[in-house]
Amino acid sequence: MQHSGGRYRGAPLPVNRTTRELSSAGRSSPHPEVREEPAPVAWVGPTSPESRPKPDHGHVGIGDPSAQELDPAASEGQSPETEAKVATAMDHPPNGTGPPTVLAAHDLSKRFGSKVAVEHLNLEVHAGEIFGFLGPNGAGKTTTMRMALGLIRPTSGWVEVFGQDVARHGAAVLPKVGPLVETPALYLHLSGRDNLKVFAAPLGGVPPGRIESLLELVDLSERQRDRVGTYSLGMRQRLGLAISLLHNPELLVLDEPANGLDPAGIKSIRSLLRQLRDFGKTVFISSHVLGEVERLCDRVAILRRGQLIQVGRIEEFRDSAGPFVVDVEDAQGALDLLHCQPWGQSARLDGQGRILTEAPGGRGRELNSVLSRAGFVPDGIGRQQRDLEEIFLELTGDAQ
Amino acid sequence: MTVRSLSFQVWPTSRLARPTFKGALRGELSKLRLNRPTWVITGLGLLFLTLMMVLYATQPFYQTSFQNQPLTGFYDILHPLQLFFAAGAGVALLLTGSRLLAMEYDLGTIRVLLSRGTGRQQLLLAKIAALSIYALLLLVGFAVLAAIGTVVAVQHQTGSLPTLQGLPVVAWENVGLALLSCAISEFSCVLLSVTMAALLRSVASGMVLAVVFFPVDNGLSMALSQLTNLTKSHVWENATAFLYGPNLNHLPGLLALHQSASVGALTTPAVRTSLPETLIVIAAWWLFLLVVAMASLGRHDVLN
Repeated sequence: MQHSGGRYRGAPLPVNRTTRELSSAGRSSPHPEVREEPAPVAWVGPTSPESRPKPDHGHVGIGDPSAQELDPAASEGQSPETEAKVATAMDHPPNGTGPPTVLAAHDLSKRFGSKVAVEHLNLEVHAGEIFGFLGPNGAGKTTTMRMALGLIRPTSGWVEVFGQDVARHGAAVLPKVGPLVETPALYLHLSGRDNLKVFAAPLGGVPPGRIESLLELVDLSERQRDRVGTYSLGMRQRLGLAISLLHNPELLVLDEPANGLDPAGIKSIRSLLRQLRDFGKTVFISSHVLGEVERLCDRVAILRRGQLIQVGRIEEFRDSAGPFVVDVEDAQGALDLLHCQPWGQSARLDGQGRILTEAPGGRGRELNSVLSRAGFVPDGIGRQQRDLEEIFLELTGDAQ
Repeated sequence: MTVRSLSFQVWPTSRLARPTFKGALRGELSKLRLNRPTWVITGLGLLFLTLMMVLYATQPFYQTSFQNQPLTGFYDILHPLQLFFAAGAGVALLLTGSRLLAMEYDLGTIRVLLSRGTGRQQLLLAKIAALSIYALLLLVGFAVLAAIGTVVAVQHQTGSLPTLQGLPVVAWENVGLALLSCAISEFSCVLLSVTMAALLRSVASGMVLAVVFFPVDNGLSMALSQLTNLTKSHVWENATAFLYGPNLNHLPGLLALHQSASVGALTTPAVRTSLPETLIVIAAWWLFLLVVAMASLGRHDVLN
């Protein structure tokens, strides 16, 4: 795969860091209150329930074997100071206290006849985060969201929302959820305002002024008395979003909310969702607009053919998925050296005279060691960052 | 699109909303109220009722009937009105009921309702309750308007109201029983309409099946009677005692007190049935339809 389109962000990093440190360096949670527990390894594909790791909390070692080194289990018995350092490096609060899990899929599978839509999916969405759900068409995103909303029954496994099985306790937990599944489902013969009223009724109505403020929020005040049948797709999408916000939900489950919106509308939705997150809401969102997801989400899961293939923070995807970028004075000499290494066959120069290469065992310090021993002391080594689209296409096998 | 800043003043941490039957019922009543066809159908019914009243007030037949035999004249007005209402309100409820449920599937709004915590059974019962309230309002409205129309017609035909005041008590008892049979007929249509909609999950198909059901049912009764004549076996005509439509047609006549003329001109079971038997058959059909509707609603995953 060509990486010429990739971007190398930030200054070269010191060469004596581990890859985990590299990927963690400079990373800080946009929401200090949102902290996550690390999981030892990425779980890719189905395994037996016994061998499958516990549902991860987002920190998977994406192409990073050293992730296990920072497994909190391995740090047991360490001093509180060390534990705190590890926790800080992993965005993980001491004493294992993390944000509560709002939504969790446990070994979730769904079959439609012989077609497998979702297979052994384990996933956790934490309070206060925006969690992106990505995958090509037919990957199982919508099916998963429908199971999370109690609309379809899992073939096996279950979904917990606010700690309760949705299939069994839907009436108790679903009122805390604001759903928007695919195209907004609306009463086309009613006005936008009446749609809000009708959808508010089953949950006992809404406080006075809520409908007006929601209409204003999604910029539909002027068209509130028009029939929804006359609305554009973007307007319907916005109304759908207003409906999902009717009861001030704690969790928003949004399937392609940017569908049909123009760039200004997408930006507005992004702004709105960020505001909601700042108010402590949790957002579980699927989208095909990868740039949008990249800008909006704290963590992302990628699904392919019903299986979870990767989950992690956006920064982790960017940091760990690209080749190493080496700044060295004699770049050509270093390149010749790397070509002689079994792992360095694909090494090449980028347009700025820097070397793009793999590293032995995927570890930057080993790469540094090889180069330094041969007299090519690097000025800096870092991971090349790529955008989510490149990573997505690579992971889902759609890269050309 | 401009998204305004959210304000805590308009986003209070309100009490935890929970789906309630009362809330679901209110939502369904709103849908009925905001549904234009509901008003169109009701308006058409009102128009036909007015035409019937004009007929009663102007046709010489009714004048003669009232002057010679007031009770018979009264029934001559009551029975057509009852037939008209049973058929008219029945069709209106079949159309409105199947639309009220099936549109949730056609529009995809069922997934919004369910994903907000409203249960399938709760939703179905709320729709049945809303349609029953609508049916009751139709009946009350019809009764009031028909009463006013009858008074006007009698006044116009005979020039005085004592004709009505002189009617025996049984006449007024029969009015009550006619209203009861109309109510039973209406509820039967409500259950049939939601069941067809739950089965087919499509407004068009649900409406067609709901409206076609009774003609087919009545036709079946006649076909079974013919089979009895052909085969000389009474099994066929006995089977007509279990049909939905013929029993509903037969009910007004069974309920009515001391009437020489049979009520209604529609198909009835080919065998003699008693009032309790008829009521049991109708109740069994209600239970059957309710079970089918509930099973249908929870039958499949909501994919559309």
